[in-house]
Amino acid sequence: MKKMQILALIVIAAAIGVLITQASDYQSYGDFSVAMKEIDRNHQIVGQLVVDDARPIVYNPEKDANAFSFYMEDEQGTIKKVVAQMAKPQDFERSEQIVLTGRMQGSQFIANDMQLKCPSKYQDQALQSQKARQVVSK
Amino acid sequence: MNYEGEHLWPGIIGHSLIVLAFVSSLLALWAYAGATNSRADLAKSRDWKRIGRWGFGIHGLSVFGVIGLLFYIMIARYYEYEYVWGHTSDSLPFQYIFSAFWEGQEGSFLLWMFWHVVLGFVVMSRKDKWEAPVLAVFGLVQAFLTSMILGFYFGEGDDRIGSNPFVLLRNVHEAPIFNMPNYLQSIEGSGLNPLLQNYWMTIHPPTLFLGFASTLVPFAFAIAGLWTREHKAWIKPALTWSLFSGAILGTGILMGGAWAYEALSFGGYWAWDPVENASLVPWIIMLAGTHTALVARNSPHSIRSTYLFFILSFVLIVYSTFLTRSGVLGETSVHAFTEMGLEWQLILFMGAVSIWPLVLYVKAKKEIPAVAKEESSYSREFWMFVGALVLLFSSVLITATTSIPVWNKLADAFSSLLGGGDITNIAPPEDEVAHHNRYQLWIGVLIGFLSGISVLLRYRSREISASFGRFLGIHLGGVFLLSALITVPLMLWSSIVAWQYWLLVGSGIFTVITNLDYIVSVLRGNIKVAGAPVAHIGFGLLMVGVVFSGALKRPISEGFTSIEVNDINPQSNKNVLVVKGQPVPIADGYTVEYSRDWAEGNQQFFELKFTKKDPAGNIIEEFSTSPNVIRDSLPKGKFKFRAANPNTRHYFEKDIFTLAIPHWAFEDPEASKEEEEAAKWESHIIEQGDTFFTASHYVVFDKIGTELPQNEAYQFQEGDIPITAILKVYELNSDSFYLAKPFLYIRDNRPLNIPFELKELGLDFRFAQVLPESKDRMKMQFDVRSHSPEKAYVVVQALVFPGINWVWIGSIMMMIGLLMGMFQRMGKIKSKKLEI
Repeated sequence: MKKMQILALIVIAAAIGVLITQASDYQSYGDFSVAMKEIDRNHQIVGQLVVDDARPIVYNPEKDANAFSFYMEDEQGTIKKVVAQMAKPQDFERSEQIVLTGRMQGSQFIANDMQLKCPSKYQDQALQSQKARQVVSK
Repeated sequence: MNYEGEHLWPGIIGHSLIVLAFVSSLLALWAYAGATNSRADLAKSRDWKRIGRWGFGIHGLSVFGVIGLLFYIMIARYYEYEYVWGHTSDSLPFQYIFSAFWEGQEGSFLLWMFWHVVLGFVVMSRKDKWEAPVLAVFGLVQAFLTSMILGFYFGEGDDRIGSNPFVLLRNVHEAPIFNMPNYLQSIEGSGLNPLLQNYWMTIHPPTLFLGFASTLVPFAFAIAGLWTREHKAWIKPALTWSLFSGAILGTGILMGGAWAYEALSFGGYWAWDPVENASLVPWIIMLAGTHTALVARNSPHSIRSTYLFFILSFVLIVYSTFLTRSGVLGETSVHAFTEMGLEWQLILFMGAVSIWPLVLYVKAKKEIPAVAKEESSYSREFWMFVGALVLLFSSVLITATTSIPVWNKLADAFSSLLGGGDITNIAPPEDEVAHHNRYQLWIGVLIGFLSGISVLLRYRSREISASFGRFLGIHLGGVFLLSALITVPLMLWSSIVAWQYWLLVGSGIFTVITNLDYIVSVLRGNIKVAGAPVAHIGFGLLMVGVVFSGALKRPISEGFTSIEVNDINPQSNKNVLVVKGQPVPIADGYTVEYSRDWAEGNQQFFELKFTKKDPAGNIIEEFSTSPNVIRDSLPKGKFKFRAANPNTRHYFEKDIFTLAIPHWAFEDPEASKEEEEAAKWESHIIEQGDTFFTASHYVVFDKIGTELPQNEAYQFQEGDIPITAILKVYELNSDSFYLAKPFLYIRDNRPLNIPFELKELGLDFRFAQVLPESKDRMKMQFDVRSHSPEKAYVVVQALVFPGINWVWIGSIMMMIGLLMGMFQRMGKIKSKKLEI
């Protein structure tokens, strides 16, 4: 065999090896019930914000600027209190979907990372409010 | 209904020009393809070429016309057009019209097409044998791109090809407002996303899209080579263009990083976000192609891999367009996407630009020259080829992770073909930055060593002569020793312990020194031909900067520890609350004070004063920053928070990044609190010189003054007896005090008063009455009411990035090196022409 072919084989073998190792970083999206069973590792959970009188969004930077809490419903319908380790992001209330990364601690989910899916623009809403302005000015 | 005040003509002309651009791009494709296929017959080919030039010329002018009209309606603020209404507003400053133009998908497609037209005209102006096949490829690509803005509806409902930027607002949105003929008088544009209102958004997209467009040229030359079966000749012009592409696309990516670092609140220049990766990967492949093209120019090897890389680079650009514009990335990227409903068009586009070269390649494969003899491992081309493979591998790794949403979709599609439901639900790695860094670190190490060693080797050398061996031994040995002598103390000083980082810094320094050595001892200091070593030195410095700014990046604003969640992840405690006028000690001996704030237009600035003291208490560093926020004004003096802009203090050896978010940004501006009125007055009856306490202060009744209040509520009348009390209000444990001057006057034997507000402390004082005790003793009644003081605090983030300047210096050197290489090649082409 030529040197080049041997090299190519080694490179391909190494490449496959590294690719497999890399893929071991991938995991599936979980839910709260899995996170409650496996409390020693991080989970990524997709869900939606739930807000009502009993489930407020709390961020009080005077007390703790690095944590805020809210309630999220996962795709299985389980609702848990979430403590996110960050300042409350802009437009959090408007988020359509939340992806949390973190783990359970007691009865709450501690999230050290969070991705929000927000409606990119509120155009229709803007048009509606313009309509309202129109009515008022009449 | 006849609507009043609409301007319909720009839309009609604009849309006609889009259709013309589409048709003429197909004409250019057809005619230039004819010219290529009949290249043996000179006269016939010339006729075809003439038609092709007309086609591409008309196409180019139509694209310019469309862009001009779109700018025109945006500058004129014709809100009857959805694009104008959606991206501009009356208050948008003129300089952001450009940003608004390419904020939307249609505008950014137009920007991309614009650069293709410009580059196509450059190729056309050369009038060489490559014009016909290269511009045929341009014609095809432009036809696909124009179809993205065609706005051609068919069938029932919303089936359409492309999204027309000249579509009318009333045809897109349904709202009762459109029942009025004069609806235009009452609408205003919804404006440009405030995050995009900065100068980076003006310069980053045009550069990046020129970079995207430039990858088409080597791709088109590769197809031209396969098509005309001139498998060697195409490489020379393609190489020059690939150096151009590497420099421009690299600069575009770099600007994106600088934008994220300077203007966005991410706190970093690179986050391995799928959108960032989508432009990084084609750039890496383009550089791999540049290297194999150099090999192919200097040896009989690597023609096939050069074909592969140049084709792949553009295909990946189209793939990245698919990823970022089809909405498939939704969950995994922080960038906002608007879906255009063009998935299938983008997939067809991708299919066309992959299948055409593939078919040509398979047909021509046997005739592509390849040598049976292999490269010697002593030759430079061997190690350059290995380097190109490493770059390819880097791209495979990045793409595998970036494409996770695509794998999910593909698996679900297969499963539904077999009658199953959704089966896969792969999540991206939870910490994407750590994930990519872990693997790409080794790519960096390998490239560092390879680019260091290979410059010292020679092309086509099959064995090493004794003298060259001595040269290699002395230089490599010397450089190894010198790199170690620099790396070890540097890393010890930096206190980084991870050995992987030592290796990366070491390989970066190794390539810097080897390439410096190469410039001095091989090129004899001839800087004109030093493009490659300059780029490699840049790469080495970049790696050093990446390690220092990445591994040593730390928050100095960790003054507040979150009790509740502290034990899980203390790193995330990077926010600290700073009350106005009260310095807060933070990490590293720094103290931060929020000293003042001011408004400029829709921005509010906060001045943060940082002081650093040594253990003895001497000030050793002092600076201020003024981060700001963009806000919308609401009624009752409230604000809606839109975006935060950091402000960074630059030093040579480090940067300090600061971000401040005011208290009101965390409150819902619509929720109103009316507790203030409910607070109760509390009475204190005291003599002059006495003291009384409130919840957080003590008040000394200093004296009676005679000054009249500066208050329009009081008008002096004949017979009034005015009395002003001077009260000193101390904070507990403090010597400084505030003065309160409540005022009492007696009119018609009745005591009347005017309260005094101390807003800073949230205290109101009322001088209620005078109570005579005896002949020379009098007591006074003061009423005090306290409500929550006016909040004035910001939540501050301050991060230190050591060595960040090496990132910028290194990257800029890489781009300069690539440009130097390009000019060097262009010079060679010119001098060759003269020789002929």
